Amino acid sequence: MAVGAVVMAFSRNYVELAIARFLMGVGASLTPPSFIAVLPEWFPQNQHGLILGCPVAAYNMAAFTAFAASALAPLYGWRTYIWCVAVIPPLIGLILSTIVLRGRVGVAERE
Amino acid sequence: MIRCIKNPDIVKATVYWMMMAGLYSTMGTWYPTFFAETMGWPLSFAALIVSVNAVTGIPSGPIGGKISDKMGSRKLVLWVSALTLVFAYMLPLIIRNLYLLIIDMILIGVFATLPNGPINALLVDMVGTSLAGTGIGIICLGASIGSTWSPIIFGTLKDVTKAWNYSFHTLGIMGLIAFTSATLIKEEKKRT
Repeated sequence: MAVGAVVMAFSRNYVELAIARFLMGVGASLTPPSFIAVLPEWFPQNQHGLILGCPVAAYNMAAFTAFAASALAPLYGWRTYIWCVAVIPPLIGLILSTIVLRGRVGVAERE
Repeated sequence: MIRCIKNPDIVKATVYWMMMAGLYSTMGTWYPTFFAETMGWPLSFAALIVSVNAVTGIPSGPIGGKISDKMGSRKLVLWVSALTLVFAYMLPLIIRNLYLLIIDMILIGVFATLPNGPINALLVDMVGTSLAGTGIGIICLGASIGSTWSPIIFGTLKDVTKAWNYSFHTLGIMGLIAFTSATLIKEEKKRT
């Protein structure tokens, strides 16, 4: 998704924009199956419904960033926001994969 | 992967999610245009009314999951949501009142997101954690197919018939297919 966002930030025509969006789509579609596969391993079966329903709430809350982006886009330009997409999600991914996942593995090992 | 595809309940869950995603995507694509055309609202206002569903969808994902955990039945949430949405998606065809339409959008937001937790949990129940990623990948593929084709079919019907009725009836049929798929899913009742 970050690579797609970088391509999009530099895009000069429709074809480049479409390729960038395709790349971003590939990245975005890989996310749900991976975290939905991980979450059930950490919680008992009678909590799976709740745990697997929480990401949906997060999705809907995140949708509000679109409102903020559309309001601020005239001030900074749309490419600035695409650069944010190129930087912020990989950072969050890095934090999740290092701190959260390792912390959880540590807890499981201690248990 | 083959084990997942050969599982008839995964196929039913995929059909269910294909229809549900198709319905939601069609609403996002066409309802603002429909309201702008039939109610005479500016397109931005019509889009704002439709976007109400995104707000009400925030708590209902975890709530739907919690209900299915408490009841010990995932598919009950699935078919209740599908049945409610059959009516909720078709109501804008007959409602001409702003407040009632807002209530309808709230209903759609709640019942469209209510099955998210239960369907993912149901999938994990069916195939176990080792194949959960593959199973959910298959369901997501179905959802993508549904959300791609449903708005196209809806729009094509509108263009061909020059009326909204047939397009909205298609939504009802899709909701009924989702409802039938959900009721046919066999789930394990016992929970740990």
